[in-house]
Amino acid sequence: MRDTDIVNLYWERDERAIGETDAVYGNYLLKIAKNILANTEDSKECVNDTYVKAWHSMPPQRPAVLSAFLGKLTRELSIDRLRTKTRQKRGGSQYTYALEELGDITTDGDTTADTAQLHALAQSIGAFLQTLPLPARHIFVGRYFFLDSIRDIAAYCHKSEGAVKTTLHRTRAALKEHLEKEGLL
Amino acid sequence: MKRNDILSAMGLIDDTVIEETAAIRKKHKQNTLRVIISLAACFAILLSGAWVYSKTRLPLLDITFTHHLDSGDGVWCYDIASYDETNPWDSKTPIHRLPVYQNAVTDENWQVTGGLSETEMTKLAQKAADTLGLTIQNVEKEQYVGKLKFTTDRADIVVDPYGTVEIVFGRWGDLDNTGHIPLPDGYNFRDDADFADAEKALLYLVETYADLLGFSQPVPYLTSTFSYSGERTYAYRVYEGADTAAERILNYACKTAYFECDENGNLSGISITNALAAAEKLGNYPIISASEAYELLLEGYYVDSHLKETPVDKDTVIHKQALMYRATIDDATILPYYVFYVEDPTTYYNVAQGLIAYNTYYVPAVEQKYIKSLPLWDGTTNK
Repeated sequence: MRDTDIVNLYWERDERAIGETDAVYGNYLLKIAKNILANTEDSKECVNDTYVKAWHSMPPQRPAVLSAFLGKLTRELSIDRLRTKTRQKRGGSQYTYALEELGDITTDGDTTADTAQLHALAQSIGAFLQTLPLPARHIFVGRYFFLDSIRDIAAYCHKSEGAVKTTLHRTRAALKEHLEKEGLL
Repeated sequence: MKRNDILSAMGLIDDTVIEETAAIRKKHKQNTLRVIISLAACFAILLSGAWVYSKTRLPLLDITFTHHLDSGDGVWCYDIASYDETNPWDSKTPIHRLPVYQNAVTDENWQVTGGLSETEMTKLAQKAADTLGLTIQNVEKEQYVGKLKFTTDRADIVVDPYGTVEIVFGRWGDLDNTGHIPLPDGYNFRDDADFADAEKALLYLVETYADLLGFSQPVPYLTSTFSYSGERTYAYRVYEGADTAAERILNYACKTAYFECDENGNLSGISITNALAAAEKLGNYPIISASEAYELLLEGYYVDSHLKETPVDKDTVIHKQALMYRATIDDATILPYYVFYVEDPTTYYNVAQGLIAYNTYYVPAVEQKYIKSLPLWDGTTNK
């Protein structure tokens, strides 16, 4: 089923929307959740929460790119769950590893960015990503949006793990420079 | 700023950037799956393929029609655009699959195969009688189609094996219409009612007989029929609504009811149809698009509503098209069709000026690969 048809089902309040979403995007969303939570049971719950949130979001929303829309929901829900539920250590989470890597760009300051600052930061990062060569952009988004492991990224980008690590390292350095120029660091 | 903020901001980046990488990930996954599948396919097919296929495939449809009713002549109307406006199909709503049912069938000897049993018909009649406060006094089996006629103190209730319950108020043979039910003052339920009056009467009837209808989401609607002299008469109808477009389209033909008036504006009868009551679901079949149906129409792949077939070609003007089920006693298979309305080229005399006849062409909406045969048909339309 096409994305527009699935979105239409949500707008018609047709409960098949959930099933169709699961059929098309279930594994995709589960992978995102597992990257963050490193726990299958929690991940499945997050994916289910994603469907609930999608059901309440459409209408009024009519996402143009359904995969991205759902991916963002799962990502956000998974991160929230990780933050609230697991102050306890949870090994193996790509979220944790990615967070450590981002120490290259910024050491933790005293304050957390508010919503407006986050949007400004996202816009700036988006502009930066547009300047990257395509492989570097895929690697960066794969690592810091999808929270994919280095090994997975190496597989789908057809590169060695070492090459992926090097690309990520250089890209983070370039992003740091970009954000400093923008006055965001 | 904290490191968390970078990751949070990444969750807000543009969808197209995300989609771009998602596509790479997906492609890789599919390639990986292909390799795995190619290695495992032989074993899987040998061990379970045949079994899975037999369990999941949809039966081929053998579309046949019985010809027990008189044939119709298509549609008469002044403005085809406003004809059947209440059809819940919307060309903008994509429909990918719709259910198909095996209908009960009557053979040449008027014996019904697969319909409701007499016990089931009796239950339907008893329920209607109880709802209306009627007392069943006698039952007789009609000669044709195995209908049962239940005589009560104030009405006859006729149930057929297809799931139609018809209540005729008064007693059979009462020529003066005693027993018909008047509507309260202020309602005009006669044939000469205008649209506003007809709508008001219909809403009253649907509300008053809600328990009898048993619809959870009743959708009342009026349809018009025209005599040759151009006089309009409204038909007072209601169908069972639904939350999905597919169900609405199905119910519009299969779960319906209508009210009949006499010449004095009294309620003379109510007919309630549940064409699915005796039907067996064959499965949810893939549906072609309206444009694909049009291509089939040009290839002559259709059944038409008139005895003299008039071929359709690229120059033929299609005045209207719709998606609807046929679920009459003539239809051995209850399935959706795309219906094309084409002006009848026949010259008719003594017909009101501006009144136009349209022929209807029915193209099965189910993908062709699921249809075993499509006989020519001189069938009946516009029920």
